[in-house]
Amino acid sequence: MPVHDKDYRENFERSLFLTGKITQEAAHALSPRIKELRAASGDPITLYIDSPGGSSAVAEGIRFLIKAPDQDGRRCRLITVAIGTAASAAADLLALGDYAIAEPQADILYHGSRQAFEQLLTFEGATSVAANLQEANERLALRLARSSFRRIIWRVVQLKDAIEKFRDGPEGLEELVEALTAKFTPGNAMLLREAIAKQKSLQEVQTAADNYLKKRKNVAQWPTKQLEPELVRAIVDFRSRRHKEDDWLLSRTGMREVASDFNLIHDYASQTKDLDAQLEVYGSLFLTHAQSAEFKSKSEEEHKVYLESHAADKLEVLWYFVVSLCRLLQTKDYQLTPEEAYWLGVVDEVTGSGLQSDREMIEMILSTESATRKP
Amino acid sequence: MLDKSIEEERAPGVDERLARVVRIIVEQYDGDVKAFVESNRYRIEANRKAEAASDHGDEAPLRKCPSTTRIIGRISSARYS
Repeated sequence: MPVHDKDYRENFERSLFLTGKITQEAAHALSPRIKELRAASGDPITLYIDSPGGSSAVAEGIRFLIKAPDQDGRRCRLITVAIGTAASAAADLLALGDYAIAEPQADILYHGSRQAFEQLLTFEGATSVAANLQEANERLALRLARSSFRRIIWRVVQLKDAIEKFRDGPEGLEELVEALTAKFTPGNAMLLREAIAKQKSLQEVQTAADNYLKKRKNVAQWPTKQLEPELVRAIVDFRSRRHKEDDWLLSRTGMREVASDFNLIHDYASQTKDLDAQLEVYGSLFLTHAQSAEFKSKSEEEHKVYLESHAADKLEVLWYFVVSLCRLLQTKDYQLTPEEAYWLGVVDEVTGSGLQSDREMIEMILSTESATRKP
Repeated sequence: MLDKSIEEERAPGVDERLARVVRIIVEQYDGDVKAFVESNRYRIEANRKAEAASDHGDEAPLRKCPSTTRIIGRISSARYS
């Protein structure tokens, strides 16, 4: 008998429908039902989505209302299902589900944050709006990257020859991504190629900043107040050298570029905890056959150290690639088929597609275990 | 930091079930995810077919039984003839 895991399955009995534009009114209409479902049990809540998007802040509010801890600190798992259109803020909400499903007829559309204005803008107003939009894009990109990273890991390990090259070393990333592009239409494949170029550039900034800071004494003990200006200096130094031949100026686009690099490197430090956790779970999938044999001969306590020295660099470049990808998703319009959304790590499963999913793999193990338990 | 609340939310969330999947793939399938999925799909399908066949087998003696209508018919003809 097949075994089902409710944490990975949609459940109509405990579901909500988000249809139409995401507005404050839509959130108000959903809130009582969310509260009712949360009070009834801690089981996952399924959110069916068919929406052209709307307010990102409201979408975030709905997500928090579903996932916020209750008085006993229990959180609820969110399963999102795209049943029609999932565009803009609705696409973000879909991807941010703990488990995201797309039905075959779903249409998933990404674009950057937008803001409509009824009145005329001054220069100061426009500058502040631009800064807000950039920050909103960065924030969303980072959230998306955190949700997509685990999914992308499961996608790339399916790319048979390319994954073997990548297991040999992080320089195999380009080939891995090239193999991934075969799953996309030419237009969307460009997104992946642009992301790999961006990833390289981000990695260079990170390395340059590391080298710059290493020359300073006791930098690890520096207070943040002292470290941050030094990091900005390192980035400005790197960018000015990089743009030596062109007319790059801080007063034109340079400052924005520096700010963007700064945010990324700064946030990277806060993401290491996330990356460490991912390394512990998925690191062994990135070992060569020889390394894998050596890994298996080691004790549980030695595993962490082994993965840090043999898989962390590969996971790190992959992480930078995913961040770059998610940043690009916030810049232009990208229309994705459910299968493309799957290969991009936006969703975990496409119903009826035959593509492997976390749910299928977990249920495979559960059914084996239940068969062995039978007398 | 751009996103502190989400970081706090995610930090403890490592899925032990997926970690078990990874361990099995690495230990029993030499890291080959496709081999793991395909062999399990094959096994599940084979089990399903075997179960269907045995269900069919259980039905076989029932098919040999006379239908309820015929039994009732026989009883009533014996009683009321």
